[in-house]
Amino acid sequence: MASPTVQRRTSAPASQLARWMQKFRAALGRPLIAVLVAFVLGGIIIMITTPGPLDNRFITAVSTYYYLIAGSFGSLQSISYTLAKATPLIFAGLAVAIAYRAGLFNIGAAGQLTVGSMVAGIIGIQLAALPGWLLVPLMLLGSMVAGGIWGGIVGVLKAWRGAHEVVTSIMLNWTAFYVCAFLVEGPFQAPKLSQQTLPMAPQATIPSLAILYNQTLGTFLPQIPDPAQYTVDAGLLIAFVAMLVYWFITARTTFGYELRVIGQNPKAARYAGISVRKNIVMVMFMAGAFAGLAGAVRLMGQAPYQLISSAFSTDSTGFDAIGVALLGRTTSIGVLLASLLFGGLQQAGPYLQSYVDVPGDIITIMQALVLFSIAIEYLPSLQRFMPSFLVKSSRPPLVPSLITTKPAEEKGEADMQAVESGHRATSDTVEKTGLKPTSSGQEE
Amino acid sequence: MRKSGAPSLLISLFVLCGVLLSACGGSTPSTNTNGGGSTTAPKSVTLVTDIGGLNDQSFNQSANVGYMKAQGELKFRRQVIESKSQNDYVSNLTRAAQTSDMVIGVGFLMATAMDQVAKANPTKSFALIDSCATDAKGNCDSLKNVAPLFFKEQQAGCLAGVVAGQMEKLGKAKSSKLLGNNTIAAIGGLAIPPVDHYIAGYQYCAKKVDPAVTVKVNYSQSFDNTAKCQDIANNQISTAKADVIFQVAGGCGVGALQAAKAKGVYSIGVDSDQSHVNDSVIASAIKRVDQAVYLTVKDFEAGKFSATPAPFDLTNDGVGLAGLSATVPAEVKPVVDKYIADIKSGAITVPDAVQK
Repeated sequence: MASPTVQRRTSAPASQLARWMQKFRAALGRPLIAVLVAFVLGGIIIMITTPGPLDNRFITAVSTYYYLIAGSFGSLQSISYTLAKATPLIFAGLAVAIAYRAGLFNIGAAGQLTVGSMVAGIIGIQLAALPGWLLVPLMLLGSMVAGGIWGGIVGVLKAWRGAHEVVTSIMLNWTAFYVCAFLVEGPFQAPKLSQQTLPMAPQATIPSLAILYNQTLGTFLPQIPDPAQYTVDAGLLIAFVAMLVYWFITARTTFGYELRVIGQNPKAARYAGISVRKNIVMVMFMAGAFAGLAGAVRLMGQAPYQLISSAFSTDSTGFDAIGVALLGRTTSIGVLLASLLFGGLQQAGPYLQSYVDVPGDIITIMQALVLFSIAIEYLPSLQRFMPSFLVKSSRPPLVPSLITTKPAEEKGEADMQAVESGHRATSDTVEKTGLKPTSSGQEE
Repeated sequence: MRKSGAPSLLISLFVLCGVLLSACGGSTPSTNTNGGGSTTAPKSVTLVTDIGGLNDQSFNQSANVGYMKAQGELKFRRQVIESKSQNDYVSNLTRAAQTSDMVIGVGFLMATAMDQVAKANPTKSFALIDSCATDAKGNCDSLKNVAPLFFKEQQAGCLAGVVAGQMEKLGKAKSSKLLGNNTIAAIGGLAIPPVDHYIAGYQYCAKKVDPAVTVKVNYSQSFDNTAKCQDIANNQISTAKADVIFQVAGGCGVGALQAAKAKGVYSIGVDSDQSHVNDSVIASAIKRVDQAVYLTVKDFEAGKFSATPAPFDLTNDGVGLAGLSATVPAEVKPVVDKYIADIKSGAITVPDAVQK
């Protein structure tokens, strides 16, 4: 209605390379800077905590990073361990990411994961007589439904009672930990062991990827020698399918579009005729289903294939998933890369302890630093402090949004328009009603 | 953002790799990783801890003390892996088995993981504290390369029982804080073998010293919830008038020690010397995980590895009584010493099952 008074800038950069650079910066600048800063800070912390003269400390810090890479991606076996650690993180990361798309902060992935693994475990123990081709899908499905219901509770409470999802999901986490610990220590306790169930029957497990390959493609392609040393399981393939499903849901369906709208502005979404309640419950159910799968795949894919009651509350996957989702900027590929980073860090922990004399806690510190760096958002603040001729067009908004559908400057322009038209509207009313100019009018 | 996925991600991947590689470029790792090969070098031993870290004031720490003692004497390369989650047991044990000749696992939760790793690495030796390697059916798997390290906790429990029983027998005249109801109590975490061994010994020897004493036994169903054990101890002190509280519940039991202090009665610690908690702790029934680790490593280096080692007891300092406080009447010590001698000589056999 109101014509823009601000001069429209051409946002398309001149060359292909420059456009690539801009897109690259938009998509990955912040996560990369966050990781980089975390690693530099981590190095400083290692240097502070290790004994010896300064140059020794420096060598320790450098060799820590050397072994960090050697331990996580240095050999085929290390890579397989890293992938095995990353698999549940991918599922759990998607669980946090999909809720984040709708503006919900799903802290409850840990609880949903616990419930999922418990239900998969119960099915695996009770129906162990079933053949594997039926049992494995049944366990996966059971974990999805159970995790989904656990997440759905959060959604229902949010949609109909307005209870904040952070509060309810944290509370449900502990409910899940304790209920499942009770189940493991009570009805499903192994006869001669304490605080743990019996391991799952072999047909209730997901085979290792290397063994699966040898049995299928390996019959006519070269075999993998000694497949038992590569621990990564076929759950990784399921994780890829989940990533594909996630991408399809969020990018190619009306539901995904509605989620984004709700995430950016629930009031506008309701005004546009989107059923916010239904979508919130749906998205929390899906988040729970992803998290439940994380638990089931972890239980069925990795030794010792059993549930341990005290592991529920100490397993950090559900919480690491928050970092994974944020670092991955809630995209499929981003979640994969962030999972590989976190999985690699965790995998390298024991390796570091063996080869460099640094405590294993340094890994936890690094993860925390990555999270911290994401939260701080160095890049936008740096840009804001840069002199204006250096930044030119891409001055970021003061309140950064993780999910931007438009480039930042267009959005800023739209805001300017809105402000402009708002001002016009007020001055119009002032004129019409003949009242004295109020404070807003005086600005004109 | 999404449209530009592929190219920008590719670049980012390169940049990420570049950053990481440049961070380590030209580095010369400071630690020395060789050591195998030569025949004179001692065989390497790795300690894999349970969750909780090396400074957990409990078994991890104790095991590390024994490990460090052996390492100081025998000069093998130090390699300790702290487990961060129960899900890491298998990968940590595997990593340890691949890089050393012997692996020591701390904690009974590793039982099934140890079984799987030991079967996959038959040429390496393993030792597991407080448990045997357990197969898929939950039964002890008698593998030739796994040594289960068991303790006769009942002997330590017995000495705690002797202290408590003797104090009750001497009565209020010697120990002013007694409530005069001739009742003592024990709080167990869960009714699992190591806990029950302690309590059985406590019960048996307290009654042997003072047949008139009543021993109240409760379980908290937790090893970490301090408040739970505090509640139970308060209840035992207020309603049953128990005046010596023996805690066998790990971190939870610290609450029992605090309750004893608050109510002004006596308490007995467990596993390690807990006299630092407060002055209500008159003694601690200890389990020398450090001694067990030290002896096992020493035997292993001397080529005397056994898959069925004798349980650790008073004769090899595997269990004992520590930190007998000055508030305990002087008459108690000689009785304790007599029981130690009798148990060592076999004159007294302490049962390991709790009398209900």
